[in-house]
Amino acid sequence: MSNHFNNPRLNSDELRQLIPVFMSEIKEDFTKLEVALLAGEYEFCLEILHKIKGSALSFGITVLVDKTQDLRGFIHTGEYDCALNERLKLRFLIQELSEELKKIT
Amino acid sequence: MIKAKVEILLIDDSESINEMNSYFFRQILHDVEIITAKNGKEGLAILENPDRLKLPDLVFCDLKMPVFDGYEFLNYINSKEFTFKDELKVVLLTTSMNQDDKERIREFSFVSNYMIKPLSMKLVNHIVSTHLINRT
Repeated sequence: MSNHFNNPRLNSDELRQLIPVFMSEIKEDFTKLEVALLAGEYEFCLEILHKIKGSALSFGITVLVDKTQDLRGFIHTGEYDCALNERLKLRFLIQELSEELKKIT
Repeated sequence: MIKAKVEILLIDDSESINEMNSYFFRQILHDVEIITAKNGKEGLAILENPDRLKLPDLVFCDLKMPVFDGYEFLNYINSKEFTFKDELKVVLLTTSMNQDDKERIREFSFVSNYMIKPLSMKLVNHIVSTHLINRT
């Protein structure tokens, strides 16, 4: 089992069953986030990031929780260029998680 | 002992959280029906469905959701328009550790717990033993 999906509250079989729903949702949310960020709809961005954070927290993926917090911080402080850069890091992380998912399912 | 089929309504905009929490309840309760809603409006539509014979035994509700958030849901339940307030048990499940939120929900007598995400098997066991054991 990979480190990212190493959740003490769930065993390997449970993770295999539940993680695909999580990944599918995260990818969909991230697409909405990118569109909203590029359109300057920052309130909506914060709503989506809150949702991603809640899901990531529930699945124990702390690295994703941290990344959403970083991006929220940039939006809150009006550092939108930094937010755009940070969203690329978030995109890479989601790709990485997606690759890990392929290995464990 | 849990004597009858248990019905639980989960309200959260995250499908994966609803899935995970459903999983926990199914592990602990063998005769359980889980209903999910992705915001307070959908949750209310389920509660007020005229074809419904009884209220769910427990309602889990997130606070921050699009369309109709947790507070809008609680305020509606608390209003005169909703006549089954005293028969409803709501558990709030949120990421908010804000003290203001904790204080604010005290005005809602039907809210029995304020829990911080994520839910775990241990917490589900606690909720089941607190609210569902020995009910008829």
